[in-house]
Amino acid sequence: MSAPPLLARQLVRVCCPPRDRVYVLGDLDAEFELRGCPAAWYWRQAVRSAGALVMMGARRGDWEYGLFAVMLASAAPAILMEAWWSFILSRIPYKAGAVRGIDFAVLSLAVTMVLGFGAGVICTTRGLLWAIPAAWVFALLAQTAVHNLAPTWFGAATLAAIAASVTLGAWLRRYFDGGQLS
Amino acid sequence: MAKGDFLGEFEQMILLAVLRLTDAAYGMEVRREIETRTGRETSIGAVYATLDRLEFKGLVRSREQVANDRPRKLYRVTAEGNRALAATHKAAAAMWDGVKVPGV
Repeated sequence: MSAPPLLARQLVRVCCPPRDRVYVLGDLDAEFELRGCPAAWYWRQAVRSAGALVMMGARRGDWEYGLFAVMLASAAPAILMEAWWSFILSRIPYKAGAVRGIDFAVLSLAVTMVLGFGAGVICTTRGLLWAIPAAWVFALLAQTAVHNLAPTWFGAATLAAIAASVTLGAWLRRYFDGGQLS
Repeated sequence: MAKGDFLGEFEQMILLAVLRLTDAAYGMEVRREIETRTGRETSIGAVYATLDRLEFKGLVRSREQVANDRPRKLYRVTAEGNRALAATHKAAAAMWDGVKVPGV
């Protein structure tokens, strides 16, 4: 009797919320044996299950998913905008005077707010107490990592944008869960 | 009836599978029941995610058991779940009434 494909099993393991892992993996392995160990079937199940399992953990507000969403929301804008700015600079023949203007700041804040909103939806209002400070820490670490010496006003605006968007996302999630908008 | 009182297509299938399986309504069995009866290949992740959502809505409840030497979750449809199924079935039957579709 062959074992399930290791990578496929790891995919399910990583995507599945911890409290359901034993049930999901147990069922998958049991049916794998029942069917005569078809690797292709196991892979199809793993790939098709991954998204649904991640959404299950996110919907429940399991802290691992909230933390990942918060990290993405706060660190990603700094890294993405830095990468985007480097790309633009590489296309400009004469870089003198190429400064990041107000449009750069607005775009960066907009990206932060969109991602922060998504993180708030996942964290729920229960997670706000840790989510906002964690987001601030990730944002500051990311800006340090990309050597982005942002003006103080921009740093403060970023932190305020994170707090506002995460809170809004969590509040809207609570509203939808309560069914008040249906 | 409010919009949220009706079940989605897959939610219906899950609840009906749980009702059919009675004392054997575990995740794997629910998945196999849907696949056998409808011919629709369903992922175990989608089954568990839907069961989790139904439990959140109060339409099913789960209980951990040890079966076949491993921990398993047994699901049961609640009274609220039965009401939701009945309402959805009644609404669908009302829409089908008098409609002729080839093959049905």
